[in-house]
Amino acid sequence: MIRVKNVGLHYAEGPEVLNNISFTLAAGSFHFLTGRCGAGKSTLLRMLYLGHRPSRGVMEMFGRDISQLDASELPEMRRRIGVIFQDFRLVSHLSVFENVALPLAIEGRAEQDYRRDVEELLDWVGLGDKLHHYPELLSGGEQQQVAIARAVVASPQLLLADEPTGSVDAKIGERLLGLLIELNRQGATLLIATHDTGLLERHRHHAGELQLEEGGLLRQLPPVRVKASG
Amino acid sequence: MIIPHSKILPRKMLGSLLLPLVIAVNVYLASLAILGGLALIGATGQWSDELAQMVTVQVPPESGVSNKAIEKSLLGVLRDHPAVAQARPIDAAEMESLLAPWLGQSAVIRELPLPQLIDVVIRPEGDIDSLRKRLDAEFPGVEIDDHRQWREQMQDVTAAARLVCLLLVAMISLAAIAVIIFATRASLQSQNELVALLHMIGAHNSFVAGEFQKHFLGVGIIGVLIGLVPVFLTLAAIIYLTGNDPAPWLGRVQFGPGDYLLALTPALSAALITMLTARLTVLRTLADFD
Repeated sequence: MIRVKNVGLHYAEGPEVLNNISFTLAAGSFHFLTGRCGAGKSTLLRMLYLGHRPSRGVMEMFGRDISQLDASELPEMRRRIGVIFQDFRLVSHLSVFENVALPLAIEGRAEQDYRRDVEELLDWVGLGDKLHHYPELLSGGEQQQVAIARAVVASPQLLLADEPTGSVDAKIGERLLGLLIELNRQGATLLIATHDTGLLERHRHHAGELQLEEGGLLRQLPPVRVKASG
Repeated sequence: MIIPHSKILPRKMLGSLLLPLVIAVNVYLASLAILGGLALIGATGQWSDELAQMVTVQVPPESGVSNKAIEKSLLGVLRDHPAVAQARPIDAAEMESLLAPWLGQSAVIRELPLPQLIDVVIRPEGDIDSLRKRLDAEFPGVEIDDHRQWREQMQDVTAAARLVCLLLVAMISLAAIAVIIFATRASLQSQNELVALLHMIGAHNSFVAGEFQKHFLGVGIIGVLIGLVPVFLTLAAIIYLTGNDPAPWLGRVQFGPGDYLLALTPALSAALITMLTARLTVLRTLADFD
């Protein structure tokens, strides 16, 4: 589903921040992305959610070579990817409902077509009673739940999460991770960037690992469980 | 009236807060420029038309045509000519009053060798040349002043007024467009994170531009509504002042329904210009995002 081969990335004329990275993520797999601060985890995630295209090498997603895509094709590709940002990136002037519905609104769908789905999703993440609240009135964990709901509302094939438990306590972190793992069980490929070794140990039995070091891939430990398709 | 707005962008965006006032002022200034131009063009046109129908027959003292001849035959020739609707000699008292502003109420005026003047009103389509030929033949030395030089100057003034009016409207429109571009860029900059997020979740540039377009259409409509207040007050004042018993200087100012509609053109087009300028600015700014 995702094939990265000899990929390098640099900004403008600067040095490569990712170099010679090669790995494959099977459809429906679950991986952790690990490495020290500055190893390139966020940069690799940014490249995977098509915030930047590789400067060299081949990156294939959903059967397409990203470097060959026209700029006008990128939005359609991005809609197949759900991203949970470390800083949530919720829109402060939009309500919880509007934040979660954003990926559906940009597809031009009418609100009455997705209202029920969004409400059910918010019920599922435990925010059914806070549809009309604004992000600043929510706790960190609740904001993270909104971010997760927004990332999955359009049923993405690839789910990327950058330190999803980094800003919440352990109990809420486990609950949020449980939500992500549930989505993975439903077929989405899941890649979680984390430096939380405890989290890694608790889930190693069913998750693979990509270890980054100084912008390169140190090793890829294969996932234990791989779904047939996604 | 429901003012359109984006459901994704904040209603109050840095850069577009004062834009309605700027649009209102521009709408009013453009309407004033159009009304002023129309008034000047109308007045000079009316004056030129009146002059075209009036000629002055001058009988210089040295022409040898006596007052008696004027009374008997010249006036007769004029009144019988098919081009002439009316001929009226200007008597000594009227001549004195015409010259009074320059020479004062002095008996000296009566001693001056002044020409005898006859005001002639020409029929519409009347042939002044045939009248001129007839007078040349029968009354050598008698002259016809058809005010051609004045009328040509009037036409020049009318053309200049039209050009100045167009330039004013164009400059006001350009200034408004420049301000809208600046405001759109500032708004786009202030929503940089939101725009980046929209891109990350798969929004096309046209979608982002469409949201800004909706926002600025709303801003434009608010600006137009504010600007229409002084425009309507000015129109009402003009209608009142040019209505019954107008002041002499306003007597020539007359507006028709088409003129009022033309004066409203800036208001009708301002919201559209605002919307399109914002859309094009956003599209151009986002063009190299990927």
